[in-house]
Amino acid sequence: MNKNLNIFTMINKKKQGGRELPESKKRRREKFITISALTILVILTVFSIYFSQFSRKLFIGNSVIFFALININIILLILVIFLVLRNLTKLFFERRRKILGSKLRTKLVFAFIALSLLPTSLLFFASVIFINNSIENWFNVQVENSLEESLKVAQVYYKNSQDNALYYARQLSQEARDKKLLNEQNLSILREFIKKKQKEYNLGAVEVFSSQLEELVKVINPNVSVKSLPSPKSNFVKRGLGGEEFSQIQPAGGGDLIIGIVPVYSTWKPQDVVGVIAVNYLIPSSLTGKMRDISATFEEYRQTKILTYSIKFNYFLVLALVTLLIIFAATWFGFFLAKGITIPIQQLASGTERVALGELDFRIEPVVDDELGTLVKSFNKMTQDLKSSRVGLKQANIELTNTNIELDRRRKYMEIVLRNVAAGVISIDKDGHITTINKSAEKILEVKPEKILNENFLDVLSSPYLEMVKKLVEDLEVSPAGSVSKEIELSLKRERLTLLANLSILKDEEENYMGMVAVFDDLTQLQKAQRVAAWREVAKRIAHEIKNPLTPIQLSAQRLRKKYLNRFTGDGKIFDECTGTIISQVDELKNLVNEFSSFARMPAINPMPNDLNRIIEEAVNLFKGAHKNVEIKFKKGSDLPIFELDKDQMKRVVINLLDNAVASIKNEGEKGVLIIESFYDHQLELVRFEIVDNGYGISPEVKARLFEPYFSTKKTGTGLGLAIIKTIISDHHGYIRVKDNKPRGTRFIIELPLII
Amino acid sequence: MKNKSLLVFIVFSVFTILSVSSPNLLRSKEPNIMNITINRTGKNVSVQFTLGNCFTQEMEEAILSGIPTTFLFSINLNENRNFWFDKKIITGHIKHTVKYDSLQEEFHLTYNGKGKNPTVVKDFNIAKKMMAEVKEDIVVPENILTDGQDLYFKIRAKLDSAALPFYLDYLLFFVSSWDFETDWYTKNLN
Repeated sequence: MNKNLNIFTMINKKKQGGRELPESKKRRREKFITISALTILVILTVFSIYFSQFSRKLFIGNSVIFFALININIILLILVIFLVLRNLTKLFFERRRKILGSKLRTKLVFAFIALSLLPTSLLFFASVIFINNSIENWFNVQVENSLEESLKVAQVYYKNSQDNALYYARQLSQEARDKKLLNEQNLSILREFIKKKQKEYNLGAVEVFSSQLEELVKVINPNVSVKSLPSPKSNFVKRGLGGEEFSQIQPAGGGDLIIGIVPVYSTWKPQDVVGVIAVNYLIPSSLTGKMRDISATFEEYRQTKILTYSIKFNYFLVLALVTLLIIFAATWFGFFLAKGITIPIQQLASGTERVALGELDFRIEPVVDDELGTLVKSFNKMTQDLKSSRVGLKQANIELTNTNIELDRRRKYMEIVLRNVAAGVISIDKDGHITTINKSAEKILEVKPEKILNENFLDVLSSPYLEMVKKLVEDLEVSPAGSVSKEIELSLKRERLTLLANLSILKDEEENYMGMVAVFDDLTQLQKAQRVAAWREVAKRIAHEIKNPLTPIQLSAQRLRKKYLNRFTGDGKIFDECTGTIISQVDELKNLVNEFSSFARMPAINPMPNDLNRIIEEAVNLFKGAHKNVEIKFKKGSDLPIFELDKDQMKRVVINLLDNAVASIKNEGEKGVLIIESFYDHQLELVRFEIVDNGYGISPEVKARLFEPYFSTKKTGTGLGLAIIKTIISDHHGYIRVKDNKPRGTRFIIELPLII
Repeated sequence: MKNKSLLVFIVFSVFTILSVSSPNLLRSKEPNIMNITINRTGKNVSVQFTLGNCFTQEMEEAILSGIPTTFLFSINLNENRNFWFDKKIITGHIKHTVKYDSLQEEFHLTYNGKGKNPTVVKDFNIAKKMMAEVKEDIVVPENILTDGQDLYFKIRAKLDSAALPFYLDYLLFFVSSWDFETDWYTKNLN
C-alpha cells in the first residue's frame, strides 16, 4: 500500500513538478506535427493550383471547394492518424507500465477498432465492387453503339442537309445559267424565279451575288436571321466566285444554317464565273439542340471511357479516405470514450487507495454528468461521511483511551499497592476461582501464582487447610458484617507461620455477590519480637531479683567455709563439699544471671569502619586447630568494602555461629567441613557472609523458634546465643536467615547493608 | 518512433503523389522543340518553330473524344549579360487549342494571338500540324535592337491541363498521363 502510495505520489509529482520536460517535448512534437500537416496542406494546394491554373475558369467555386475538401480530408486523415498513433503509443507504454485503467482502455479501444473496422471494411469492399460494376456497366457495348449510332444519324442528317443545300444551289445555278437570268435585263425574272424556288424547295434563304460582289437577289425565310447570312464581301462569296462549290455550317438564331455555295458560269464562256448562288438551309434549334446533346453525350461518354481507371481510382481513393477517416475517427472516438470512462474509474481507484491509506480529504472533481459522475459524487460523499465518522471515532477513541489510561493507571496503582502492601491479598471470584494474588501473599504462602491463578481454591488447598478455610467461609456466611478475622497457623517447608486472616465478601454497587477477598498478615515476626521483648523484661527482673542475693549467699558460704572448715575433723568433708557446691552453684547462677543481664542490657552498637573479612578471620583463627575432626575453610570475598560495623559484637556473632556449627558437626561424630564465605552484592550494596556446615541440621519446627530467647536444643545451653546474634544483626539493620544445606547441614546467611 | 513512422508515411505519400503527378516518367519519347527559325526585318522579328513528339495515342484519343486540348508556348526574349542574371525583355504566351466537334466531324482550332482567326479543319493530321507549328511575329523595341546587345529567345512548350470531366483535372491524382513540358530551348536573335 505504501509502495503504491509512493508510486502514486511519484506520479503526481511527475505530473506536477517533474512533468515539464516530457510536457515540453510533447508540445514540441505536436508543434512539429502541426507544422508538417500545414506544410503538406500548402504543398497539396500549390500542386492543385499548379495543375489547374491554365484550366477552365468555369465553376471555379465548385473547383475550389472540391480540392479544398479533398485536401482538408487528407489533412484531417493525417491528423487523425497522428492522434491515433499518438494515443496507441501512449496506451502501449501505459500498459507496459501497468498504469491503472490502461487495460480497460485497451479493451475499449480495440473493441471500437473492431466494431468500426468490420462494418467499414465490409462496406468499403462492397462499395468497391459496386462502383466497379457500375462503372463497367456505364461502358458496355450497347450503350456505346447506341450513342455512336445516334451521333451518326445526326452526322448523316447534317451531311444530307449540306448535300441538299449544294444540290438546290446547283439546280438554281444551272437554270440561272441556262436562262441567262444574271443578265441585267433579266434581274426581275431572276427575283421571281428565286422566290418561287425558295418556296418550292422550302429553303431558309437564297442569295444571288454578281461577280462584282453585289447582292442581286435575296429571298429569306422569316425564320432565318438576316445577320447570319453571307454578305457579298464574305469569304464564302469570294470562294464561290473562285469557282469553288462547297457547303458550310454556321449557327443562326439558335439553330444551324447550312450554306451551299455554287458558282454560276457564263453561257458564252463556261469557265467564267459570273455569279454565285448561296442556298441557306436552316436546321431548327429544336433539332440542333438535340443533336448537340447527342454529340455532347457521346463525347462525354468517350472521355469518361478514356478516364475509366482514373475515375475508378478517384472513387476508390475517396472511398478509402472516407473509410480510413471512419476507422481512425472511430478509433479516436474509442480513445475519447475510453478516456471518459477510465479516467473517472482511475481516479476512483486511486482515490479509494488514498482513502484507504487515510487521506480522507481527497476529493475527485466530477467531469461528467452521467452515471460515472454520480459514482464520483457518491464517492466524494462517502469520503466526507467517512471523514466525519472517523473524526467522531477518533474523539471516542481518545476518550476511551483516556478512560483506559485512567483505569490502567488505577489498576497499576492498585497493583502497586497490593504488591507493596505487607499483607497478603487473595481474591476469589463468585465461582471460587482465584483471580488475584499479590506478591506478599506469594511470599508468605510460598506459592507460585501461575499454578493457582484461575484455579478453584477448593482444588488448590490441601485437606487440613481446606477444612480451616471452609470453617472460615461458613463463619463468613453467617457474619452480619460480611467479614471474619481469625488467627491461623501454617506449617510451610521452612517455617511455621502465624497469620491473621481476614475474609471479606465482595459485592458490587448493586449488592451482587462477586466473590471473596482474603487478607492476611504475617504475625510471626511480630510475635517473635513480642516474645523477645517479654523475655528481656523477664530477664531484667530475674537478673535484678536473683543477682542481688547471690553475692551475700556466696560470700556467706565462703565465710562459713573459711571459718568452720578446719573445725570439722570427722565430718568436715561433707561441709567442704556442701559449701563448695554452694559456691560453685552460685557462680553458675551468677553466670546465668550475667547472661540474662547481658541479653536484657545489650549495649548499643558502636559502628566504626572495619574489615569484615579480618573480623571473620580473627574468629576463625580461634577455632582452627582446636577441633581435629572439623575442617574449617574461609573463602574471602575479594571485593568486600570497609564499612561501618561494631567489631566486637560482630566478632561475637561469628564466634557464636562457629561454635554452634562445630557443636553440630561434633555431635555427628564424623569429620565435618565448615565453610565461611563472604560476598559483596554491588547491586543491593550489601555484604553477605554465610556459614555452612555439614552437621545434623535443623528441623522446621526448631527453625521457627530458633532465634527465640531461651530456646535451645543443647542440654546446657541458655538459649540466648542466637537471640543475641539476631539482636546484633538487627542493630546493624541486617538480616539473618537459616536454610538447610544440601545434602546435609545448616546454612546461616547474614546480610549487612553498607549504610546503617 | 511514432514521429519516425509518421514522417515515413508523409514522405511516402508525397513521393507517391509526385510520382503519379509526374507524367514524363510514363512517356517513351520526350516532346521537343525543333526547326526554330528567327527572321528579322527591322524591328519585326518572326519566330517559327515546331513542337515535335507532342501527340501521344492517349492524347489523340482524348482529342477525338472531344476534350479540348491546349498547348501553351512561352517565348521570352532575353538579354545575355556577363557575370549577372540575364535580363528578360519580352515575355509572351501563345495558346493553341483544338476542340473536336464530333457532330460535324471537324476540328476547331483557336489561337490567342492577334490577327489569328479560328480555323476549322476536317483532317486530324492537318489539325495536329497546325497545333504543333508556331509562327509568331514579335515587335521588338528599336532601342534594344540597335544597341547590338546579345539577345536570344527562350522557348518552352507545355500542355495546358486538360479540362477533364467530373473536375478530375482539379485532383492532384488525376493529372492526365499525356501531360508534358519541354525544356527551355534557346536561339540567338542575331
